[in-house]
Amino acid sequence: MLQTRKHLSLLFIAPALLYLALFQLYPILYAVYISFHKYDLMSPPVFTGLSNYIRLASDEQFLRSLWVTAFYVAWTIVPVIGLSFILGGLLSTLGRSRSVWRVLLYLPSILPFVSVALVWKLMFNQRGPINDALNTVGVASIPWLTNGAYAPWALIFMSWWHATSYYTIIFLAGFLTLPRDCFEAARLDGAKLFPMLRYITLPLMRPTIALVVVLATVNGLKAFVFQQVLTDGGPANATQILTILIYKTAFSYLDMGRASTYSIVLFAGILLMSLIQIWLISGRKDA
Amino acid sequence: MHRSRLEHYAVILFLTLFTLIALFPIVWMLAASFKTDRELLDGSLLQAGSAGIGNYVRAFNERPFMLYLVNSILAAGVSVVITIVLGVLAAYGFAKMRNPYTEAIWIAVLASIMIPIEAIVIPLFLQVHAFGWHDSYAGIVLPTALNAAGIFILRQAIQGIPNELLEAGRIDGASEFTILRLVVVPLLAPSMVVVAVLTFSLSWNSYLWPLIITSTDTLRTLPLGMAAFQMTLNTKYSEIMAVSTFGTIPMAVLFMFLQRYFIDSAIGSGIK
Repeated sequence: MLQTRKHLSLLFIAPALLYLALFQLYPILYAVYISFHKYDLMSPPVFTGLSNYIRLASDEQFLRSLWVTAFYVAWTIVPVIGLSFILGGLLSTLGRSRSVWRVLLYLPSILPFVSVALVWKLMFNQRGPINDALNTVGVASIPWLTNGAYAPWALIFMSWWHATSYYTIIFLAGFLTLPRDCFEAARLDGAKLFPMLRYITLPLMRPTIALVVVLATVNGLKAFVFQQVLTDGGPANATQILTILIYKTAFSYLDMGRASTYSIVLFAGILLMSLIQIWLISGRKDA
Repeated sequence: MHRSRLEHYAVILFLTLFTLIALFPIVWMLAASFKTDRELLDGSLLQAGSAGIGNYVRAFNERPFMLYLVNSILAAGVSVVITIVLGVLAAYGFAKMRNPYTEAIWIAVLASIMIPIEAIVIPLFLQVHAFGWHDSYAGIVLPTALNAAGIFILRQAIQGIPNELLEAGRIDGASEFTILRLVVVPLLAPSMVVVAVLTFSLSWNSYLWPLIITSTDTLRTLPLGMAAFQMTLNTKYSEIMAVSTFGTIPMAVLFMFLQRYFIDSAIGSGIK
């Protein structure tokens, strides 16, 4: 009887498992395999050992892209996490009006990514509303998307707008699970705002903060649509994050071996962040 | 008392400021879709547009946006169905039929949740090519249809169902599948909606994979159609804004009816 249930359980799991094995686990193994080869889609793959990996160290396009990615992720997540934390915290102090604010602040997240990209592309236009606003306060128009010095910042600014909306909701959920009486007691004892934040709120919110850091980093590493639509990695590769480099290397230069090697690097980065996430989740359960 | 009221107003002021920032691009997009390009670039922000629905009409004449919409809905629909059906089955197996096999396999499923499509597009492209699915509905939809995070959320929900309920069914001689269908699924409805919303949004935003696997215009999903329209020579800015607005409408309608589930799915995809 028990033996049959063991086999039966596999029957329930099998369809999903086959699916994941076919379309997720197998491709990742295949990517590792291709990364050891030179492959241009026309002729069969040629085994080249570790040479794709060794070349990474002197591959200027890759190193530049790595830097562009790190710059984008760092400048996106730090302000976004700070701002979402504050907004989520403030929302949690409200009463019945909270749900209205929450819906309004969440609206940017329901726009399709491509819509977001198209709107911001136009807002960053030479004659768009952002430059209009700058002109009214006496600042000259900025060539946001056509100058390599400004384009990375344009993408970072729009990501602030887009991501804050989402992480505010997650921080709010975290704040709502905090025990209310802790704050009441501290308040009655006459605790000031900043010591209260430092000694009560931050320690209690640590699990949520850690999860948002991981989530925001992974989402930053996976970004593609904004860069592709606004600048296509340009001008002069100034916004060519890893995903754009992978796409171009594979489908413009038809260098599958190299592109797979870049993919493995991207995957390793995301895996590292996800392992930290799992470690945090299991740590939270034990606590 | 006085201080706390002042504080309250400060909070409201702060939230109002950020809500305005959050809403501005959305309202601007909507307004721009009814303007002419001249009004959009040279006119003031508050000026109402004089284009009527002209931008929408021209954009729809230019490209088959209704077809793109149908393709997107189809892709998202198939994704939702596959995720719910395979997800509920697997989640039940993992949550209520635990044994050494399932425990070990669960780790593999967790690992696969972490694999982002961005890291496997190249091998997946070659694989789907070998299947002969290149540039077809199957190629666009099937490889990315199962949202593994959905299994996670459903498993969590099934774990919360007391075993006594299931045992009662087993004593009555019901098969595991009958128990799943008659006892578990009805209790699972809210989580299933959350997973459906999450999967639908993921598919709706899916861009990189369809971009790589399609070349025929009539197979394009809405995000691809919107991006391609933007690249077309002589496309007016105001028409691009009309199309951006159009792409938002289905999500906005869903959001109106399923607000709570959207919020829960955001939280679920984050914290799990």
